[in-house]
Amino acid sequence: METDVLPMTDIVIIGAGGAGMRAAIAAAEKQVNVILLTKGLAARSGATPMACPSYQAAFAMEDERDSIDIAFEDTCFEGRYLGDENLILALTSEATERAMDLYRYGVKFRKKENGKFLQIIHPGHSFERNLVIMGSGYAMAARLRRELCKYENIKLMEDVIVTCLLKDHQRVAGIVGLDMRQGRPLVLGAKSVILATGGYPELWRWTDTEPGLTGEGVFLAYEAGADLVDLEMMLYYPTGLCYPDEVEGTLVQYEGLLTDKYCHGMMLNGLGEPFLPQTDRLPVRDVMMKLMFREIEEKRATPHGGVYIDLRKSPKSKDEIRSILTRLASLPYNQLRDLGINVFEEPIEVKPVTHYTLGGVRINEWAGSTVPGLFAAGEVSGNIHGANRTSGNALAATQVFGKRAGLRAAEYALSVKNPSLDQIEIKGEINYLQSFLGEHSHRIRPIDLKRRVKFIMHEYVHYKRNAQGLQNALESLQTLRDEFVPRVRAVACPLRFNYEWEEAIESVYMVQLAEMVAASALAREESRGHHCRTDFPSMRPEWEKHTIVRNKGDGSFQITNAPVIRVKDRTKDRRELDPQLVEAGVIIKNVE
Amino acid sequence: MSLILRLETDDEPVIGDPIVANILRFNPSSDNEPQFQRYVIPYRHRMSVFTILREIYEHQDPTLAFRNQQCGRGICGNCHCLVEINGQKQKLVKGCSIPLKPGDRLVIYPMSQENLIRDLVTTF
Repeated sequence: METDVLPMTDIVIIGAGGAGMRAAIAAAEKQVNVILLTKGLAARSGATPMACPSYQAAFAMEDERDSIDIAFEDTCFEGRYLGDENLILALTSEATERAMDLYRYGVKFRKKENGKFLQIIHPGHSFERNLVIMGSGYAMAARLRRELCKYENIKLMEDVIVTCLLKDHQRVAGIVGLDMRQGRPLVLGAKSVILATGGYPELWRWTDTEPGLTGEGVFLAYEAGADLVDLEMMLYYPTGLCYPDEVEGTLVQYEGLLTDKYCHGMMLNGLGEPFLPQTDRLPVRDVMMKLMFREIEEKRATPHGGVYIDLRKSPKSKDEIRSILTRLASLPYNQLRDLGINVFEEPIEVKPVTHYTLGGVRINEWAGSTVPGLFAAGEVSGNIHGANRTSGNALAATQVFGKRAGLRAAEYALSVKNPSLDQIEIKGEINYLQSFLGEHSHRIRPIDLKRRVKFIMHEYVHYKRNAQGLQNALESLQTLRDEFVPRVRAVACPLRFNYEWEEAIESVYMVQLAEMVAASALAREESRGHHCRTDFPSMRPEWEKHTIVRNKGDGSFQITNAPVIRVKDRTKDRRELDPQLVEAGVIIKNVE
Repeated sequence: MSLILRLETDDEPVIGDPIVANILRFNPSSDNEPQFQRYVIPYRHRMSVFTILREIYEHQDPTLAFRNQQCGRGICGNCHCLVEINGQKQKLVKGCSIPLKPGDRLVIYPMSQENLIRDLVTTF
């Protein structure tokens, strides 16, 4: 099949969201050549452009009692002590400097009358800590894109899906992909590769993310031999819209809508009753989603299967709320208005949706994976946040680890010779891509395979799991792998922008990644953060460790464990759970 | 973005007259000139310009090219296209933010003829 082979370059970055673009800038500053590939359009696809306006950074401009150390402690505690503390230390101590880089690139943070940045408090923050990006993630991505265009040594290629990482013995050697605009494969050798492909919330049925977040970056890393970590940890954002249909899954920020300092709306179940515990602080995400699911599961849901957020119940005036909504961008007010929903006249219906992948590629504090030359930054990486993530740490992590990955990848590329490319491996991958276009008497459409994966994950690997269900999931996924995957075919023409071809590649990786997620969930015999085992309902100290998925090299994987990296002595230095939340019954203390 | 991938879509009852869409199709690498193709989409739930494109791709014609991967909430702009609804003047719209009524008649063009990759897909 006709294939484009590009000359060897220093660094290939896969994914042009916040982490990928920041990595490109950092690497380009080191005078190396960078090719930045993205499956969609830079700054218009992936997770970053759809992100909320929140960027967590302990500037302490609102409350001078805040500090990097308190941000570090908040992140460790709210992650249920499962995040690697060396990574959290890097995140919390560099988030401020990286915010100032964004500021220099033209990103506007909302300011107060005194000229200081506005900082707002979200659940899990001890003090007001989130910056508010004007124009949200979209504006941040747009400014990063504009910045990277200033570098002649960065070449951006859009509408390219990477399907394989090439290896030269132990080290990474480049990529094979599919160039959608040309409608043919692409081969690109590189000394170093940075994965910035985002997570895999698309494995589930209810998600608030962009459909491209199918997780092939995680799978590519695994195939190349990199360790994956804590794949069972999928973060549920409490409030995605479940009505109207056109915008089902759209995220609205419960933090801004419910916190008494801001909109001060009320959350009610389908019977119109308040059900959140009477605490002085709004619950963090893992607690909140469990409280909401309990109402939905116990038949107190709204007509469209969620709960209500009612702004009419706020003690504040419409004008006041309108000005807060504008300032904090808590919901897509204009779009809802276009669709005939006036949030001042009716409540909105929301339910928890998969939002952010906490697990992923295991990295060290310099974003290096366990494969030489292969780095990972942003949501694709797995051991930063732990079992739950507080608001604002996702965008901050893209910048901190994006820069770190770019710097280290550049240093690596400058220190090694060109890898040699294995022509047999390349030919095999091109044949594999072409095979999706062949005939099959019992063809399975990629979209049908995706639906089946989502169905299985929703049924058995939702936030509540148990051994029996997870075994069922594994068996069903193995059946898909054996009986459906070999029959996946896309329409054979036209080749140019053949989206079904891209979906075929995604769907096959989704099946295999879903198996690893289910196996990781089965291995973790406890409940922690967003992982709730009905057969192991309490948080168990002996499980304060990572689940690791490792490629055995024979077409199968093994699951092992690894200790959480500590900076502090957590046998002594540890925060206790909020007793009011323990009383609400959604976090069960260890009783063994 | 979950409605578009639900399992049970086929069994849902029709709740209104179908939407008829004429969509301009063109592959610069093989066609001499653009042509309209007519699609009839059953009305089973509330739909937008973007979700009818998904319905066509999922249930009628996987060769229709448009940007599937978009935010669905009026932010990213990937679903921008030119649309005539019920004979009204052509407008540049965000496809995900234009609700459609049962029986609506649409003509859909790509956002621009320049930088056209195929059908409704352009570069930005």
